[in-house]
Amino acid sequence: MDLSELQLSLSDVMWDGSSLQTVSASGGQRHKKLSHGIRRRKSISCPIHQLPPELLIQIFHLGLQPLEWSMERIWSLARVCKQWNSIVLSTPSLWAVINGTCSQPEMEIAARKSKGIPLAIIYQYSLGTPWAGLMEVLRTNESPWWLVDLQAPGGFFVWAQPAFARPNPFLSHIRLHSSNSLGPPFPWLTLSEGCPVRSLVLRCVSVNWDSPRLTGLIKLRLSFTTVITEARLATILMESPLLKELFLDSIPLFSSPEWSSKDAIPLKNLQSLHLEAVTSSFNRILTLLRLPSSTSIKMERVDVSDLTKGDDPVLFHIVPPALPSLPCIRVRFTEDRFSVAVKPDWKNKTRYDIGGRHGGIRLFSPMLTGCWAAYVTKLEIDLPTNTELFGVDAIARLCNMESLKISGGSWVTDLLSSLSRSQEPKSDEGCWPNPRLISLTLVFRNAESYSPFGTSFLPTHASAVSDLVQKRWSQVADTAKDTSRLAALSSLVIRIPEELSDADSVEALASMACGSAKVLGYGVLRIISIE
Amino acid sequence: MSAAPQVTLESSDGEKFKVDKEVAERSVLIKNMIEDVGESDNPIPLPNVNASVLKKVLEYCEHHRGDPLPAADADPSNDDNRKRATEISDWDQKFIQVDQEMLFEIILAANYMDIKPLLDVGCKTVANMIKGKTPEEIRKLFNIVNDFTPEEEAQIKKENEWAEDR
Repeated sequence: MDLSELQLSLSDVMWDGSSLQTVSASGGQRHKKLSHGIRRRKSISCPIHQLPPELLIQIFHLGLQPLEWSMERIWSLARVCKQWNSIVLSTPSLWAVINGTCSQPEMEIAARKSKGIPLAIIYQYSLGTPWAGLMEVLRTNESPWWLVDLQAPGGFFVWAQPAFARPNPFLSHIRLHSSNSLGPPFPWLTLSEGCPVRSLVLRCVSVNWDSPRLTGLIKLRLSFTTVITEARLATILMESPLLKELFLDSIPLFSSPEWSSKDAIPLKNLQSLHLEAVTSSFNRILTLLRLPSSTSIKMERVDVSDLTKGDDPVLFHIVPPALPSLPCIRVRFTEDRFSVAVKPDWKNKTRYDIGGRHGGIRLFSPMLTGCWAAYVTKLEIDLPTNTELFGVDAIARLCNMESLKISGGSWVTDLLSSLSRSQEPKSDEGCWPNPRLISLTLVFRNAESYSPFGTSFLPTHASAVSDLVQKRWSQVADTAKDTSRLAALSSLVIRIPEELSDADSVEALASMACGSAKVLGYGVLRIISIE
Repeated sequence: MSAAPQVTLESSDGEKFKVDKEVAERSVLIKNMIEDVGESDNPIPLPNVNASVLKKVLEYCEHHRGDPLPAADADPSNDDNRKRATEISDWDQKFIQVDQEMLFEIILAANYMDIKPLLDVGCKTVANMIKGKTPEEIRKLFNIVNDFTPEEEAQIKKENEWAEDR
């Protein structure tokens, strides 16, 4: 019987309203049955009901990821219709999340309905969120865990440690974030031998590094006081050929005097290496890394000057020159490095240590002079400082450079001058300055809003830009047939403060704009005011 | 320069589509068929996919022809990608802006033809549509009939009453 027939039959039953009042019990039954039949047919005809249960489960999973999981969400699905209800209640994996922000009864229901499959344990502390219920549920439930994601104050980690001290043979994702240091480090989570950890993210928390081999690691992020020895870290990297992401931030790496490995650590799959404020104790490991697939390398407040000296600097070997796979290096000097030492109320900063051992300047210059130059196609420099030590010439020799953005101080004019070399270089001077450069962005900012070394846009800057454009790109125009040697500029962006300091600057800017437009063509130059 | 090898696909309603082999092989089903049967001039029949859906599927495959293929042994429950659960690229979002009937047809076709990235896009789209909605809103969105009896509805409500009280 199709839908139209069912509707006709129902109309028959409902035709005479008065007789329906007195309809027999069997007539009532028929009406009920037909109504139900119509509802079912309509339900079947709606497009989403074409999907088989396994696809609906896949969709439900996407909406119930561990970090987004809530009892409210899962019940919302279960209350839509009978089919969804049946799927939700009979699929343990949809329930396999213990979210510490749920009530204890909710967590118990979830644990029960997950029927022993590996659980995701989630707890994100917010003020007033008790954790006793979570501890009780973990204590009484023996299901294994596949994911542990905890973000809480240090006190939680100290207090909760016993509940987490258990074998974890299925643990593959670990993220432990303590909002403050735990004091003396202690191994907080026990990793079982052979547990398939793929993602390990630790902040202010330590795990027991001694026993397990972590051969399946894909992502390793360690930050702040996650104490680990040099030898152990080297072993982990050596045993993790699948590693794609390595991030180390402010970790006091214990040196291992007895460790003297000279074997290369080939991380063939590593795409992203990010080091921040890592002490030079990491340099021995850095020396051994081989990163043929890397697409992003960032180093901030890292002193690698020892590795960049000489004709054959060590860093040269990390990314082999035959594989120029590194599209971008970004070196950024963070604002919090400036302080009251220069100007008491300047952005309320408390520290000033440029030129110290972590100073960006010292590492930056040698880094660019040789080994990495061949790989850089895009460079953004934000160094609001003086530049006596800065490798301006080095930047000018980056032969694969296509895009250059410079934010910063008075040294910008030095760089513009260096770029504007008008003659073809002699053989001992290397190649043309940035022969492939097609996009140049210059950012000028006032000292008040930037750094003590910031500089507004001055007439001298306008002259330097004009000079660069004339010397460099007018020649390109003359030798247009040979652009393979010196590319034409397609974008010149100059960002200036909203208010220029004097009439001379305005005049110089206007003059520069007119002159540059004639050389570069209209549509290449953009002048943008910074609010 | 020799032309790229091509294959012919035949939809359930008999329409034939000649496409680059590289594009067709985004479908694991087709890739396996070609490997099993060997290259042939005969069209590959796809009895579960009609012409309008196949056209859309091939548009997706053409756009993503150079993308790396997903690992065959990826464990979906542990895959890092699952954590970025409902993110969809701009092009894919635009591609999947179709009516519901077509959306579910694409999902079914991607499942049948074993094109995991397309299946993911479809499922993520539906998951995003569901996210944050009440049961009543979900029913309305997908035209689902509430087939619970009042007694059953009361029972379910009772089971999760503490969830509602929160």
